[in-house]
Amino acid sequence: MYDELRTARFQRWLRHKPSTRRWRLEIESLLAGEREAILLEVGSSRQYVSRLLADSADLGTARVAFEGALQEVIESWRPEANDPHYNSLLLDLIVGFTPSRAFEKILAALAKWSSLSPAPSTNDEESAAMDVLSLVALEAYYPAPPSGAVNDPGFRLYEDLLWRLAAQSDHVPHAFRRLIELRLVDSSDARVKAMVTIPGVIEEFLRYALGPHRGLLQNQIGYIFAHCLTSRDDRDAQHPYPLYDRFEQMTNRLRARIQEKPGRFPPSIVLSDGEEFDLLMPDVRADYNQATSYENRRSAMPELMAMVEGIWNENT
Amino acid sequence: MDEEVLIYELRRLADSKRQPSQKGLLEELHAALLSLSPPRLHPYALTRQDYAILKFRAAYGAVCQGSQGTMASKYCYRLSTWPKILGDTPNRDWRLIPKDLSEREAFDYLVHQHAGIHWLPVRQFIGGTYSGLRGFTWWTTAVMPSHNTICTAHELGLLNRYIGTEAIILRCPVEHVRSKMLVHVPSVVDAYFFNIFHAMRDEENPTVGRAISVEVPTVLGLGQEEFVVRPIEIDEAQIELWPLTLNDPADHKVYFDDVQEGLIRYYKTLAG
Repeated sequence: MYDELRTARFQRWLRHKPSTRRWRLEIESLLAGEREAILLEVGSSRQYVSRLLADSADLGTARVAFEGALQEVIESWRPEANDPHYNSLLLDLIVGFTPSRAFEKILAALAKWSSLSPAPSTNDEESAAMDVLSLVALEAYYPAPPSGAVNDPGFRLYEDLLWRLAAQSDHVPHAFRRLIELRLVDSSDARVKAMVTIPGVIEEFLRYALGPHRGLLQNQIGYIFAHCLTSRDDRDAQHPYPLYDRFEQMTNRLRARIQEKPGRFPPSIVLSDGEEFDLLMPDVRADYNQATSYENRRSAMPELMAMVEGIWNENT
Repeated sequence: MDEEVLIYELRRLADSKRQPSQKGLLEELHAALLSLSPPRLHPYALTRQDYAILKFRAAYGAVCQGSQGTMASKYCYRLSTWPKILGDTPNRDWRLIPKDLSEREAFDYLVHQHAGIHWLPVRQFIGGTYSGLRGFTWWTTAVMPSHNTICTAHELGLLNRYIGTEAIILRCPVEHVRSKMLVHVPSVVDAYFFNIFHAMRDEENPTVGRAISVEVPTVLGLGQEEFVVRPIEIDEAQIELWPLTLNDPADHKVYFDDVQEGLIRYYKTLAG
């Protein structure tokens, strides 16, 4: 049974005399669920390890020992042979510390099974969470386009995987964002326009573009907006611009807004903190005017517009 | 006897004496521990499976039964981390921090937004009910960030291992939690799974809880005020956050083996 005092003494050695073997034992204990009470308090295996490292007498030695131990754990890791909790704790460490061999192990599993294991958990929610974590782990290796991407076989394999994911409805939002972030597709590409129509794509894109990945995506927002404006659906008289509506709704949900500028094009985006930036986009002025016109608003909000017209008629 | 088990047995004795109103619930939790497979001799190092079984026990959910708490300050504070905040907000509404953003990126983003000066509204990043794993969260009136936040954490009874390196300090207006009657003095059932806890006496009708300060491990004493708070609506309460890196090698460090002898003495006194 886990004993806190024994663990505390062991961790004292770890902080003062770290070795790869000691760190390996600690990582295995963590992955076996023997540190659950602490994980509940600090929130993740990454926070747990970061604290042990930060409190080490010699950070450099501790880090080298830890990284060696993590690499050993990865060497013997077979995702399909471990339970989801073990895998999720390890993926947390992989995201945090990006050990080199883990990238190919995850990539191989996803390429083979579209999941970490050939028989994913019977619990749909757990299985989806594991898929997300696996993709986040791969993302940690390529947060931005690498220099010399052409000669990087890992990156090429990752690109292949993203294109495959772009054909699987559950994963399109992630694949779409990543393909654009990594400059693997041009925002004006027809494939981008096709993907934009898939539920969740505009939403995930905007969450990142107006939030944590603004630096990577800000200049692409206008192009995505242009696709939304040029996708008119005349079969739906009430909502002829469903993508524009989704774009606007998501922007508003993120407490930002599209700022129209009378007589000027393109519009800008005003963020929740008041910061404003112009959209960089092709000249789709006519589509924009039409989508935002009185006619469009009238069909989108018939009751309100009828009331406004009634008041107008009464007063004239 | 194993020191952890000794600490637990002393706690059981002290807790039952000081909060007799909770005695039945404590006994139920103790029986539940012994019924686990394998039986557990103390609740301070349970596994995920153990918690999954215990959460169906009535006593596990019998939280916030201490008297109403009184916070005499404008704000109350809580030390957390981004993944812990997510865990404490089960049905969260994702906003500017997307669901699949790594915790490292989330923290970096918050630091960037914070720019070293601003309290940031939590509702900008996620929404939902901030409830904690058992339907309450721990708060204090001790102001954070402080001159030395690690030492403030020690005064709250937190050992280093419970302090994330990428910390998020939460701040909530007291007026909100007071008007909604959400604040309670922590009971021994609320604190059942923690090995550092000072049980206030029922008979004194306390309005504040007090932590055991581990700041000076050789002389444990009363620390900062602490409270348990029922679930808070993030949008309504206007909770704010302040990201803070706590990984300075020069920081003061306190671990369990530094305090275990002191804890045994402390609980003997409480039980005596």
